[in-house]
Amino acid sequence: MTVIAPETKLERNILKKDANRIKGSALTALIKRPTKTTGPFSWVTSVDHKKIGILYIAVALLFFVAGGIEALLIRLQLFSPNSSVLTAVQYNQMFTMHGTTMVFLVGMPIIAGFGNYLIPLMIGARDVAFPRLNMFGFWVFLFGGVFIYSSFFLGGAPDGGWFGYTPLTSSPYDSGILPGNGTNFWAIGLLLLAVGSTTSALNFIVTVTNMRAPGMKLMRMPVFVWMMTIISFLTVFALPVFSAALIMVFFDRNFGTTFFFSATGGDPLLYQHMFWIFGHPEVYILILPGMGIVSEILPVFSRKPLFGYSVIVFSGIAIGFVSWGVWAHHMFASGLGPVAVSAFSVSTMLVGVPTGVKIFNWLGTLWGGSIKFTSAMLYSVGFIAMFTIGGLSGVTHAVSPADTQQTDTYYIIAHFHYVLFGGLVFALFGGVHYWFPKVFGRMMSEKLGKITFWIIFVGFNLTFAPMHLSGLAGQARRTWRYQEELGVTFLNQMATVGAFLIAFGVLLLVINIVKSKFKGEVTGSDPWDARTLEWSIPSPAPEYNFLEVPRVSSVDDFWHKKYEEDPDGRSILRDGVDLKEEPLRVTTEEAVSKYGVHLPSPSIWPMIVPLGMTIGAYGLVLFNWYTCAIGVAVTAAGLIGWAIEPDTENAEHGGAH
Amino acid sequence: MQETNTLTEHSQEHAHRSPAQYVVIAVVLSALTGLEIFLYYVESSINRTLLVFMLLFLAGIKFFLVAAYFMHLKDDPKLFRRWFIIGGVGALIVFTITLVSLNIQDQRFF
Amino acid sequence: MTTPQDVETNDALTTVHGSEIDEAVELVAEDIAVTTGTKNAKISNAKLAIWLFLASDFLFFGGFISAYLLYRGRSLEIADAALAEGVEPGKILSDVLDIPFTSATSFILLMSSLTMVLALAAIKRNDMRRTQLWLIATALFGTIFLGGQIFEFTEFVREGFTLTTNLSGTTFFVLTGLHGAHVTVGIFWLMSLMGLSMSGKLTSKDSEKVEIAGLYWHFVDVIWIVIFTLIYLIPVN
Repeated sequence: MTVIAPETKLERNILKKDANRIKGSALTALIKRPTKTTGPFSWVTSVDHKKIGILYIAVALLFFVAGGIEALLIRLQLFSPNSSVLTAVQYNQMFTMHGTTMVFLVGMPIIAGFGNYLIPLMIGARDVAFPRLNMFGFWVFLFGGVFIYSSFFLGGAPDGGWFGYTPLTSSPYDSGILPGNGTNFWAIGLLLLAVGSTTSALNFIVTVTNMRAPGMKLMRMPVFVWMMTIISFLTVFALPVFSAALIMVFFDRNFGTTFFFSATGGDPLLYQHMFWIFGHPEVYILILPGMGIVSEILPVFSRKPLFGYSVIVFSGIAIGFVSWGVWAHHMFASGLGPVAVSAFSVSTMLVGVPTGVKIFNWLGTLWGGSIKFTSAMLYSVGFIAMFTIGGLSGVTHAVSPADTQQTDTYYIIAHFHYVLFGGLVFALFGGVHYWFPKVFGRMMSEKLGKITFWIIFVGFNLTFAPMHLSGLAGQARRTWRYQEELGVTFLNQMATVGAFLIAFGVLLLVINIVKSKFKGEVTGSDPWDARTLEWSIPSPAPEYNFLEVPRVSSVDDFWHKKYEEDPDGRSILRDGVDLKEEPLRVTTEEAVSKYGVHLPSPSIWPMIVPLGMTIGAYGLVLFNWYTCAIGVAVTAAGLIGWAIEPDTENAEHGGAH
Repeated sequence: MQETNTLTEHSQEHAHRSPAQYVVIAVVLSALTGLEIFLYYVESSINRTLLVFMLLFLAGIKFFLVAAYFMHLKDDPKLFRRWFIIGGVGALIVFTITLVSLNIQDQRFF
Repeated sequence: MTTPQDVETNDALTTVHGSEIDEAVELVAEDIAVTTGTKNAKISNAKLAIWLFLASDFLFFGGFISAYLLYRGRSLEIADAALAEGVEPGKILSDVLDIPFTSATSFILLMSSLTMVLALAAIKRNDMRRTQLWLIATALFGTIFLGGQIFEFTEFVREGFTLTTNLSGTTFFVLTGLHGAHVTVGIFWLMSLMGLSMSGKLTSKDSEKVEIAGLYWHFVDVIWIVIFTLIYLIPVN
């Protein structure tokens, strides 16, 4: 099958004109742009979406371990009643950092990492729309995460809960409530991270809108790409509301304003509204990509197309919209009044419908399929089961009278860990197993993978299932001690044992990843006989992605290029297709010179700007205006350097941004 | 191939509005602003609800004029207009619900 | 140009519309369009991105405007209650507002939107002198507006109405302060465009850069339209 070479003379001419125009600039000659795309320093300057994706995931996994250690400390404290493993303040820091880490330093970045690596590959593009902005997002994440964690050494970690309710967090700095710098680190750190997440989301939306391969209509995109697009919209609209709330908290705490101080007319409940207007879409931002990953894995290992592709897509869109109308179900016990509570109760029940639809579609995919239980498949099927359990407990929360008892107890913790751990994390682990061969050209150990899955599965259920019971028995959240009389001691002990089992499982997973990176079985481009475009290129994915821009004519186009359907609807290999045949792989230099491929060039500025922002952030929280000024200067210098740096062909985001 | 030109600019070059047209819009905006300020000065003699409604209405028109003509939305692909409206209306609804739930005990609206 | 013989697919699912040559041309054009990011939404990457950013910024201001609306009037109630007890109440916004002054500065900001769109029109027809003229005018008007804001703020503070006086002060200064910060960023953006233009690096091919700066600038103006009406004009009683 021959395809036209995509890069024609006319395109080369366009580029030559641009290059000449910029060459004459003395200013750009002053700052030599990095050019190497290999070697350790290239990881700092690379704008390649694949490198950035790997960086996101690797750093997020590090934070996952940190958040996990915080969880283990919590569980140690709760192993016995009236325990003193941690002090009350330390305990508050632990649950605050655990939540903040898992949501903002693990969940969102790892999703950005998967999206970064996979979206261009799945839609047949060479990179994202704004490669340097992409890199910027990663560095903001890394520096922001380090910034927040440095609080442990700079006056105490945040201890106001990951959600930071007012008036606790908005009490003036010198009031003695939540003393120390922790809350300031929390507010400013999250503001930093919000910038990175917003730019990432922006990037994804523009990439998916404008850079799909010919024939890749919206309804032919992989479900994962759809889910990432939907959550990118949610991010762009929801995060700014949280940013506004964080600024208000920071001002109240440090500058004497009274946004949330009721004595002068402020309303702490405003914060809750603003937080949850962000917070509820946020949890869908966290879970939809997981659903996307599962929607990719299930068909491959059932050897059946996804059941009801368009229904799953529309359900995802519906979830995106309805998620805006349910936020106050996090506030049922805050005195909203019966009208608001009933309205949000109904809307919350409504949002469960599209989700349920998806579950049935996944079951439909499995039904009648030729199932192969690889590690990735185990995690995906586990996802369906665990997420359903979490979803069911979620439905019980929607019933507001019931929620009035459940709220602020361990029952809620059980619910969201079932959907976030049994849901998102399972999907992510499955995704790691599934796409590892594409990223590194080697297989992970299936044997170790399956053992790991079962250990994590048992450990997870052992940890969180008892919490349904201990919650209903009255064990309160965010409380460092419980009393023996409550009768939940045994449940807590089980949970602690389970938590350590999870930790052991995660350790095995990390060992699997590291070992397989160096010693795993070398594999070709399509070890799973999969369905989507990323499997049509060599493994590990070459820097240029596709040598020739693919032509897409259906959903699961790659599958249809390999297989056709016989009269009974079964897939049979097409004539002339040899599954063992590897796609052509050339060096990057050859791709550029011979095949006319254009790649975005590396850059240093997208690392400098976040550095400046972080320096400024330190200045803010440590009340040192000189540091602030230095931060602003570095940021400005970075922005200017970025703006005058020559554009590459991939339409960089020009101007002061 | 003529594609060179269409590729380096926007692929949809819509009718440029002339500077004169923009000035006309600016004059209209100024007139509306003048009207708003006038209303402010005669506020005591107008029914309060009417006043608020008119001020919001005038602001709305100004918003629309800047968005549609200066920001080019009127001449841009329909997709943009649709997202703008969906987003704007959505935001309005969300914030209205919030304000109403917080205000329900306190009857002050404007 | 490619010939029809170069095009060959074995994909039975594609249907062929028109002649093979047309298809070849279409595919090549698609290719180029896709890799230069100008195809699908018929709108450039950068323009789409700035609109999304503005959407997010709109919601950001929405949060502060909502807070203002919610808290409107509460400081007055508290002031009344204080008066009733014989305590000197802090000033509230309506005590210190100077509508004629703010109307003038608002008008100038409004006119800066005009100069901005004139700058865009100028660069599109490759009139570099006019482009620079209008860009400077926009930045100048923006600076005058900002200057007016700063003057206004210092006056208020001198009269005893500050960020921390009461809720009225809090919501007012934070909201308008953030708006002012946005104007400041806009002015720097415009000055960078001026810099680019003066060093000869801005041509009619770069009209999109001006358009994007313009979209941001108009957005800032639109937010002020909303703020001016809600905060300054609609009276609290």
